[in-house]
Amino acid sequence: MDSFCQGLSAIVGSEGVISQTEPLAIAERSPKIGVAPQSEEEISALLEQANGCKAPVVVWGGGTEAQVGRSAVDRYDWALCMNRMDAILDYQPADLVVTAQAGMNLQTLQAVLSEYQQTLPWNPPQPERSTLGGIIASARSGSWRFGHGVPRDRLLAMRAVRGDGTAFKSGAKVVKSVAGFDIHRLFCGSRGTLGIITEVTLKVAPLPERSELWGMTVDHYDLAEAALSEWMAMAILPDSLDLLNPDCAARGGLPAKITILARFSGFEEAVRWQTNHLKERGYALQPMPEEVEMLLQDMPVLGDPLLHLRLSLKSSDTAAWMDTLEGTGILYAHAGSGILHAMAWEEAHAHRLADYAFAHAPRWLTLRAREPFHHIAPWKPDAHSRALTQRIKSQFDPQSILL
Amino acid sequence: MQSLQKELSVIVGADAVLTDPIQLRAYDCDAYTIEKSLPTVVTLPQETAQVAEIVKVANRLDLPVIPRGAGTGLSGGSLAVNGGILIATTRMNRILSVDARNRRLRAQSGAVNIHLSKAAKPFNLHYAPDPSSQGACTVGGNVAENAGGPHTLKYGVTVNHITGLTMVLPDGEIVELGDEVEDPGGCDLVGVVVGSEGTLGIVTEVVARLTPLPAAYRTLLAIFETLDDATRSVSQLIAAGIVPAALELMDKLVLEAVEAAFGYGFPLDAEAVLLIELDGVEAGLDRLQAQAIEICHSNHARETRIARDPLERAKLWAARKKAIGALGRLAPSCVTQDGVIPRARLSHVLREAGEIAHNYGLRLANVFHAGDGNLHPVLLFDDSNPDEVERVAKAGDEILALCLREGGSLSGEHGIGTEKCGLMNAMFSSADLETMRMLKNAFNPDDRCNPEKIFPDTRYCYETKYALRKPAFGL
Ligand SMILES: Cc1cc2nc3c(=O)[nH]c(=O)nc-3n(C[C@H](O)[C@H](O)[C@H](O)COP(=O)(O)OP(=O)(O)OC[C@H]3O[C@@H](n4cnc5c(N)ncnc54)[C@H](O)[C@@H]3O)c2cc1C
Ligand SMILES: Cc1cc2nc3c(=O)[nH]c(=O)nc-3n(C[C@H](O)[C@H](O)[C@H](O)COP(=O)(O)OP(=O)(O)OC[C@H]3O[C@@H](n4cnc5c(N)ncnc54)[C@H](O)[C@@H]3O)c2cc1C
Repeated sequence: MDSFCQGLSAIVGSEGVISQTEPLAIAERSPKIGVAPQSEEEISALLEQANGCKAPVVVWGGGTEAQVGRSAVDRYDWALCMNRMDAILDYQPADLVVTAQAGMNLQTLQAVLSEYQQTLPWNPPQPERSTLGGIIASARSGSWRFGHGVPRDRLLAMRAVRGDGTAFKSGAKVVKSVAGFDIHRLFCGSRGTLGIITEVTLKVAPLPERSELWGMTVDHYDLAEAALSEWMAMAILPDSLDLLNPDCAARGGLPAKITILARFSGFEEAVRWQTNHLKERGYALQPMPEEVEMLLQDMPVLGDPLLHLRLSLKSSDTAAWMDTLEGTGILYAHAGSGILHAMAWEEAHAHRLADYAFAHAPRWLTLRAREPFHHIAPWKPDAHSRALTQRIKSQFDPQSILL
Repeated sequence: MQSLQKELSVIVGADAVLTDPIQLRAYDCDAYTIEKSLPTVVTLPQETAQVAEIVKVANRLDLPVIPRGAGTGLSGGSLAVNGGILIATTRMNRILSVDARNRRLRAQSGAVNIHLSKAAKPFNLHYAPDPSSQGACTVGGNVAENAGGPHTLKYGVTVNHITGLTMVLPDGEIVELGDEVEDPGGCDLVGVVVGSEGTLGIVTEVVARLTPLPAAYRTLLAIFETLDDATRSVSQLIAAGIVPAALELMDKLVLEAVEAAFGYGFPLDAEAVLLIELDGVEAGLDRLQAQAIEICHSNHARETRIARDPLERAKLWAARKKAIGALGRLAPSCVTQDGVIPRARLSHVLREAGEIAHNYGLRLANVFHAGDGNLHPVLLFDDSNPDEVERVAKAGDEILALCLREGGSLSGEHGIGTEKCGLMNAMFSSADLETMRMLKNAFNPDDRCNPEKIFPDTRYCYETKYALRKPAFGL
């Protein structure tokens, strides 16, 4: 083991070797060693070595989602940490395009962009920890997806190292390109299993002049659906259209009632027109405290659930699903997009949630599953996608070293 | 041949199998007309299952299959390089469902782009990607080329509007990737099939995202004395954080052609105009318009005209969408290039492109998606003059090399096809190309589906790369 570590420190330097590996555990298994490379060349060298000794590797961004998709791990040798690759490489404010290393966290990037009155309109959980590589590799998004799309929609180009150690690029650092296959889009949702993203080029947006969070409560879920369906047919352009169950609203510091939240941004008069328009239609819209959104996405506030599922539904079915699952825990939906986060803390509730979701949801992803749920499937198997993804993986990572 | 015809007739019916060379000639190229090759047979299926059966026949007889939509492609993407069974989706043109509440539409891949928006219009929705060819091109062809259009500046290109695909893999298996709901659990296969130019399989159905029709518009025309002033305005509009729905540039030569063809009343003494469209809710649009006008005037715009009613707006857009066709009046032939550059570099690149054309003694017209930095330099020439044809080819390559030097791309929306495969090495390293090849191996290991496209090391590309790359005629 010692000469092995020496080999690694020859690649990443002694500061790049992490021997305290408990925080890097997956499914209660700690890796033998952690490595924190500083360049694409170092990652290539590491992966070549991992291929040589068939050492299974897990890529770590901020570590907020490393468990997801990896319910059982038989062998786990190296954790490859991206935290030392966190620089902005190229930022052209006049072109609204930024290139950064994949280990940079979202909050740091936002701070730089805001100096130029620009922003990346993403609000995934834990921006101070979530890395750009992790957000893209897990295709993670927050409530603003309704107005601004998912990570894929802003990813213009990428550099990455395949599982076999070869570095490559995909896409172009301009807002449009149709030249060859867009492998960078394939990497959205790949969760570190095809290769390691080292650098991403993203299309950023101007900071809106005004951005306000509004909300209202309703007494029944059918009233929530009636409102959502009318709002979606109106000429308003919210950034988000969320639906909270009473438990969820309470955790966000709001009265414990079924709550619709919508964010409006843009010119001041446009924001005002949209909220007034809803009020004129009889909706009792109230301004909401800005921090509610962030609170809701913050794991510590919500507390570590026994089971956390992300369900993909039709937008029109979301309220009815929440009605059915009421009483199982926190239900937080990006209702305009049909994405429902369901979190349960009691074993009986988690069983109810899992039984219903697995029987009826078009698609789901397990975001957290603790004893005794740790053996449930990471996501709903989709036979076609799975077979094709397997074939792609066997090309990119022929020895299957990327867990 | 007869047994092939018979076998295919059993699948799709005799009237949907074409083997007569005269009929086949209609399928020997797309809108990139200089390379031609006859398919062995053309089939016109109506259903996914028929496509799968045709592909199985191709496998059994070891023939290539070539997907084709309307044939409006501009890079030779549907060229039957080695003959084979061409699968034209023109009869697979049904809109299968419109779900207004969830803003989704399902259509067969041969449905014409504009018909998607027409089907959505009663619900105040539309299918946002609007290529200038939208009256003819199919949504399947759009998926293959990740097509864009004037309004993709604000609304995004095809990939941003597709949530699911049904496709037939090159071995005949039917697969469903994605569907009406969001977030596939794993890798984004839909995202990578979009833009793959028909080389990963044949798309038979799409699930598209629908977008609300804007409540209000402001459409204006800004008129400039120099091209430089116009391009500088574009860069400044983008840098100022104004996101127009569309921001298109037409230069003097284009205005001349459009005036000669349609007489819309464009000024003939201006060097360039910008067509700027702003949209959204009514509130705030006047202020946005004032900001845009101020930027244009600070760059010496001579005049800004505002479309007063929907009819004037429609006229301006008709002029833009028909501009390339109108250029046919100015020269026997023209070729449209397609490259992308960072938007902050527009003035510099257009100046250099002008110099390149000038050095080759050629006339250059510009009509393009300026807000996206997506250039369409159009070189005018006489195709009966071989020397001029050669100069056009060289100038086109130099302009693309210039785009790449500026950190841009070989193509913004027309794709690589057969036309640009020889230039892929200039944009991508061998490791980049090897990675793309790996993806292809996972879907299309025998190169059965749409062979010899995109990659620079195919036999066809190799043989034509060193021959004179002749330009596309008469768009
Ligand atoms: C309200 C709420 C909403 C949530 N919404 C979502 C959601 O929509 N989607 C979702 O997936 N989770 C969601 N989560 C889950 C949550 O974020 C996680 O459970 C968690 O907190 C874990 O880390 P990271 O960013 O630190 O993860 P990372 O360490 O970033 O890892 C994420 C994945 O990407 C891989 N990866 C990281 N960096 C790279 C790289 N450079 N190259 C290649 N692969 C890389 C990792 O191997 C891992 O598989 C949500 C949680 C809450 C509370
Ligand atoms: C006047 C004019 C203006 C244009 N303007 C624009 C513009 O503004 N923006 C833009 O993006 N493009 C534009 N184009 C280019 C062209 O219209 C687009 O590339 C369009 O997407 C092609 O669609 P099609 O149905 O004609 O496809 P085709 O030309 O038939 O095929 C194009 C490619 O798609 C593949 N293909 C077709 N159908 C399928 C399928 N079902 N499954 C898999 N592969 C398939 C073919 O194999 C081929 O590689 C223009 C073309 C013309 C002639």
